[in-house]
Amino acid sequence: MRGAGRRRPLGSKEMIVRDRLPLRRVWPAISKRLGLLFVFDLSIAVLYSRAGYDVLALSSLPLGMMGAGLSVFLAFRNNSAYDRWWEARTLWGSLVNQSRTFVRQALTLVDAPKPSRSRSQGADAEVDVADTLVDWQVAYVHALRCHLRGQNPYPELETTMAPALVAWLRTQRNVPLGLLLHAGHCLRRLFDEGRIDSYRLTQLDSTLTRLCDVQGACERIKNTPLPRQYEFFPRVFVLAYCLLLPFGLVEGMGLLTPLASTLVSFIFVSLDSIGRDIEAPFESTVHDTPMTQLSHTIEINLRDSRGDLHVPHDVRPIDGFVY
Amino acid sequence: MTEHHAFHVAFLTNFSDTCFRAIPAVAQLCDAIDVRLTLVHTHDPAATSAHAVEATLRNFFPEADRYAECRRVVLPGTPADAIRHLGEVGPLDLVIAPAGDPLGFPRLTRSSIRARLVRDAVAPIWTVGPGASAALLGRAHRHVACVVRVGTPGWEHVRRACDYARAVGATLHVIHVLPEVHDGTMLRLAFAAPFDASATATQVRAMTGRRDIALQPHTTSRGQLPGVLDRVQADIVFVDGSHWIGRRFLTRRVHRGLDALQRPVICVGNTETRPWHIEPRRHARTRRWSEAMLAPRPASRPTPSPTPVPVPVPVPVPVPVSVVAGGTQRRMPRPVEPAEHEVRLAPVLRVVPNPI
Repeated sequence: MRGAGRRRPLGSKEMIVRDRLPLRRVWPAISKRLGLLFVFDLSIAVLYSRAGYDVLALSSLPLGMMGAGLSVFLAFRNNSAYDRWWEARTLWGSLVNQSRTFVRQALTLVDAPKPSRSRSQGADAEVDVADTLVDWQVAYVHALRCHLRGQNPYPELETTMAPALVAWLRTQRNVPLGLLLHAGHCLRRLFDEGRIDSYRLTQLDSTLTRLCDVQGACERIKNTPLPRQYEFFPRVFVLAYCLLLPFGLVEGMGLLTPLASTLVSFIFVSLDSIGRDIEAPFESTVHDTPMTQLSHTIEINLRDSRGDLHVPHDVRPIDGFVY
Repeated sequence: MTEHHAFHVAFLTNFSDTCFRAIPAVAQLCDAIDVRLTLVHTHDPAATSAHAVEATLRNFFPEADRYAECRRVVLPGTPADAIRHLGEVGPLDLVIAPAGDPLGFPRLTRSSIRARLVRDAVAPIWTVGPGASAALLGRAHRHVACVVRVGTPGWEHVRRACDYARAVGATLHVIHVLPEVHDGTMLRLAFAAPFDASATATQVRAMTGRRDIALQPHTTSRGQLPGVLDRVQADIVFVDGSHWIGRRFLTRRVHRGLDALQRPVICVGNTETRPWHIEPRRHARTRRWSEAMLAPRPASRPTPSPTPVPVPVPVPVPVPVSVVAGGTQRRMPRPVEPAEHEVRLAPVLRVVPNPI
């Protein structure tokens, strides 16, 4: 019973990342570029200081202006990338709320089966509806996560959904959308049986519509990358600036140029790398939206609502990252 | 009557980015064939406690707890020792070993773990480099490529590629890689004649005894291999492992070209290992929605058992093993011992059923 007593609410500090970003997560992505730049800077410094190539010294004024422009460009690009990451996170936060809302509505707004039905069917049917709707919502969340990550959802769905439903979902190209349709059929049947009136049907259906909106927004982020210019030009400009930098510094710093130049390059290369990491929040990397953790949180909440005996454990960060 | 064995896959993880990236590929494999999945992590007992490592492993790939057969194992020692040990305890068909996180410095003294695993050849090694795209890893396998070096005798990987392609219903592309040639030599022309399409198809069919495989032979040089794999849309590549590991200074390394393929690669050693009996999963498909789909989840859903199920082991286990189940059981009478959902298993390996 490890998970039951220690469970923390969603939004605890561990949900995002720990305070300190381990350098080994950042360094490999930039080490090759920085190493090459250091060698280049060193050769410029040696040629200027020892071999007497005075022509290598340039005025630092254009470099300062270029650096300022590049900073603005990188900040703008990173801001756009962060907006995408944050919007993805917000959408998944909305998914958490909508899932809870739907299950609450399903458990409280759906009437018990009418007594005119056979007794043997009645009690089971009540359980079945709650089971079906809660299980459906859990499956929907996991299917959406898999859909956004390009992961096969069926090994998970097969153990929680009816075989006939899984067989039907296998014919659907968009599995979460198929599950939404299935939930719509389910609500229609409840309406036909007189267990929900038209007003409650509208409420439940509007929750489904909001879920569909969340899914559509996630797919928009997934399928629309940042413009390619944002991918290409920052890399080129950063490289050009870092290559020109030692020419502007060598006159004043001499043999210390590689240290100063590499340090400045580290800042720009890191900025470029950070933007690249977070611009695609649904790409199965440790930098993307923590969908596994969020979907597990949703499942725990929903199964708790139904009073399930068996719920999965919380997903904790690994090495400071939640996935 | 032959006894059915699930395809036992050990997913060796050190929680690198590539391990996370490989999760869609594992999910795809579990859906395509009948897989028994074991998530394995090794640790140094002097540096980290087993409980901390088990807790970390429990948070890796948590959705696998919902898979039909999945367990988590923490072992002390090196990854190679762990795989050797698992191979001794029970049959092991495939080891999934994605690349670790790059250091950002040259590895002058540390050998590659993947190279060691390929050399030990306890089982074929599934691996992928850090550059593989997530979209490609999650794809269903429709095209299986098998790389054959001209003039070398190793055909074990071809046999396995045939088995795998047949099981998942994929087209098999046999790609002949010519040896490096220098300008002016006519080696390419010399080799081209015996390796035309019909000769290759005949040879592979004769060797494997299978006529139900769609074969597409190709010929290329090693440097152009990634381009050819892109052209044939290969989803997975089978190679002879011995050709792709080598020495560099004091260390044993995986050839850089292996990661440059940017897709999953299965390295098969030349030593005798357990032959594959891959059982494809036949999925029912229904085009139209029906009322029957409103039925609750299947009654045969795995139910938690309060006590672990012992699995007989043919040989005594020399090192302690702990198996960690994925879920948490709530509001149920607690089992007396072993406590909670993690069980130290020595000397008998015990498997905790998946509670979800």
